[in-house]
Amino acid sequence: MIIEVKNGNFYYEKHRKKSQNLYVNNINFTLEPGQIMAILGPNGAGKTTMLKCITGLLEWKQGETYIDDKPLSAVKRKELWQRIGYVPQAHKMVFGFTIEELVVMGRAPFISTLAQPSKKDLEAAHLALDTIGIAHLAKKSCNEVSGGELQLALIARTLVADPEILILDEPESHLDIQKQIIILQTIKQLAGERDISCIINTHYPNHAFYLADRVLMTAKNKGVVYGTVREIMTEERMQAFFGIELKKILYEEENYIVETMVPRALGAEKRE
Amino acid sequence: MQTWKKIILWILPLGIAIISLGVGRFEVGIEQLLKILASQIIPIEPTWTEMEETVVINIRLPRILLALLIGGGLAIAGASFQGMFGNPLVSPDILGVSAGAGFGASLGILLFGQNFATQIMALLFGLGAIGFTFFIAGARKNAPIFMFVLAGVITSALFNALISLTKFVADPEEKLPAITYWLMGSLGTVTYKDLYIGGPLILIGMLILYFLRWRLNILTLPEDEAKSMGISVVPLKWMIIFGATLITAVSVAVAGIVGWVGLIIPHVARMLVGNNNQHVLPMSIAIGSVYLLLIDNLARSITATEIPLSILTAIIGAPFFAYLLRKSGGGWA
Repeated sequence: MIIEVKNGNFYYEKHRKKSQNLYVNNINFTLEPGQIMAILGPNGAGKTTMLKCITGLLEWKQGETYIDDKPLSAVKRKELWQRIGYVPQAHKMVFGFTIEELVVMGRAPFISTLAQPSKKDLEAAHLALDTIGIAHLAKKSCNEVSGGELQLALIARTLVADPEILILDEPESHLDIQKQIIILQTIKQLAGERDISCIINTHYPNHAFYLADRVLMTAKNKGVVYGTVREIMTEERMQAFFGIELKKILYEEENYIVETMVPRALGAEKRE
Repeated sequence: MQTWKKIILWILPLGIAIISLGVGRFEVGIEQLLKILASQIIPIEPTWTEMEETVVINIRLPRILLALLIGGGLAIAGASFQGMFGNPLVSPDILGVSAGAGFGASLGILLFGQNFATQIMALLFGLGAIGFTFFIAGARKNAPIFMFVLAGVITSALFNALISLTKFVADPEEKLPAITYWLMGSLGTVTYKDLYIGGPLILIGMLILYFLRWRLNILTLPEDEAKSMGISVVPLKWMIIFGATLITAVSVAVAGIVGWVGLIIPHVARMLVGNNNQHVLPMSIAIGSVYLLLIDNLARSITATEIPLSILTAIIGAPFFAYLLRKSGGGWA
């Protein structure tokens, strides 16, 4: 499935008055199957709003999202969510469902309104838990497991619908570094093995380096730029968008090269 | 769900209903009781008095059936609202139905005395109150859920004040006690007419909620997340509000205001079967119906005069729930 946004833009309405456009220039991108796009930007850049507009949870005030050349408005909601999986940030739930119960909810687009999930749906849930590697947590309450485990379960919940695109809203941002890596590796593996395209919000440049084929970078009053990681993530642009000087570092492991960025300011005090 | 829980689910209400037919000031032995019941279906030579048959079939049976329906109905309505509002402190009257229906009934008693017109007024004002709540909350498209809760609080406050007003102007010898008594809930005056009119309406509400029970799990999630499961959140919420409101308004019209069942029983159900509404809703029906039936048995047999239901649901329910709460530390949620 190819997902494309043409000339998208958004503004909030307050007291029926339109405020200024959230993005300085219109958003345009095309994502091929299996590609990963990172939406990179500091807090308050409108990254979450952008995800919502891309998937139709909010309506673009201008422009349109296209799924395989078909405008989103012409696609039935149910059909759309059979093909797109949305992974929110892990959060505490009022009612502590078990992981199994949480994951089977992802089958909802295939289950009619008055029906209950069947044995087949439960099997799909267990298969997804297996794929993600958390089958042992099936009977645990989602308020008992760790944040990282819950985040993995939320990814598993989208896999039960066998999606073609995953939309992930800062899935790693509240996790410790080890859990972050597990989440990132899981996403990359899914994209590689199943040809699932991913759109992921993050404010960690390093995660974009590791994951992304394409980067869409945005910041308040800075405009929106889109392209390959190499094109977009230059030292100058990072400074302009994030307001901090970053140094790009390349180093060699045995048979691959790691690209990363570190803030220059850290350590500067020691030189005195 | 384990098998024994399923057995409780269906056997317990039935068994206790049959036993309840023999309970009361007027004693009917268990043998006579079973014969009377059987004689309704197959012809049996009567070994019982006509009086016994009248008490069991015409007085106790409709009352017991309505206790089961109203108890189960209020409990499933409460469980559904708690899920939909994502708040375990919500009860079925959160949107102002009970206060509205209570005012309708008070006004009815004041104008016509206690009769069928009063019940119709209770039903109409109950539904009217919900309409008023939606009028306040729905001024904006896509109003967030707390707007409805707040609007419900406003509606309840308004109608409770109007209830006080009717009490204030009511004749203290005759009408005031009738209103006061009615507001505390009772099944003492129910007849087959109540059962035939109210019963099907409550059953419709219960069926709607019962069939939506798995969807309700998804509705407890934040709205965007629920939408991303491909479900139509708004129509679903309307259906649940319709079902729960129908049950509550009819219950108040038939039996007055019965407190506590809709708030507490869903929690007891959750302690037994976990948080999955696929199990919580049926369990709520089973426990709620048994609970109200037992309470009503007490209400009609402890003393010579009937004790209002809301007094007993709380006096017996509160310590029991306090015990469960202390024992579990609230850990089921």
